[in-house]
Amino acid sequence: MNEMQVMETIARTQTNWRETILIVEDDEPLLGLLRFFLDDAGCNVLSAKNGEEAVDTYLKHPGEIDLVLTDLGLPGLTAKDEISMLGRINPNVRIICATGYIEPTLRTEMFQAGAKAIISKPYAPQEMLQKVRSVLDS
Amino acid sequence: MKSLESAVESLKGLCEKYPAVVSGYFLVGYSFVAIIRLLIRAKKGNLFVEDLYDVFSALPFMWLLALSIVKTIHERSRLRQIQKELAREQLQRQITEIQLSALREAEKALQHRINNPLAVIALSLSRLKRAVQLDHVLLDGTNDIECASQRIGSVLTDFARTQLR
Repeated sequence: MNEMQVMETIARTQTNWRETILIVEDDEPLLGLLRFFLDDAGCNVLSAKNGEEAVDTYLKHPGEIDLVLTDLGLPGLTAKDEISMLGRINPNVRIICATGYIEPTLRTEMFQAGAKAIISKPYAPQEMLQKVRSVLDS
Repeated sequence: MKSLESAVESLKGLCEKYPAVVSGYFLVGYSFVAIIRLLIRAKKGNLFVEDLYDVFSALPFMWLLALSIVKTIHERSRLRQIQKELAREQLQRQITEIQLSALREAEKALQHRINNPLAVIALSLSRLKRAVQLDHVLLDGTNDIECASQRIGSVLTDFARTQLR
């Protein structure tokens, strides 16, 4: 099955996603593309450009956000602090970290802080969608 | 002062290269002084057989002493040389470690900076492929761009794996 077929399968089978996803990404083109693919999968998408904004958005939507997809190299609040704060607000929060590079020690720290999965950039849309689905189903 | 230092250095050099020869010279020097003393005594008329025995019985011990002094100097020089080599090797290792560490940091920063735009390219290409799936020319173009961007990503990863780990 080539990428196109995978995309079509995902598009066919996942348009019924109804979950709300908060994307935390400071790279605007990437944010736009993530929004596009998650919108396309049927998700309700919220976005934030840094850790502080992410925490604010999470507080403004209590109980609504099913998953947070956050970049690790954000300006301001570090991703680790952001994850810890989100974890204090909701201990069951589902978080996926996306990063271009991660040290093994930081990877462990992220999982200890509460991240459910880590996805390495660059990723294909189906890879990202599969990761999101698996964390949502976990 | 400088000539004294250079003389000492030359003597050390001789001890390192020819310890037996230098100890032989010590012995010859001692014998020469002892014989002169004996000659002076003989000239004064108070030379006894005991004097001759004293001088010549001390010769083997003098030779052993000279040899041990020269050997000690030789060993100390050799140890100093080994210490210098070890220190140089350690310094070289530290320099290499610092250079590798700087390269690793640069590699991490580059991976971080390059992989974000590569993610944009990968996601955009998927979006484009959907839009142009009936146009084979455009589809081939997007496939070529995808391969090229994957190669860019693998350049850094391969470099890090082969050169920096």
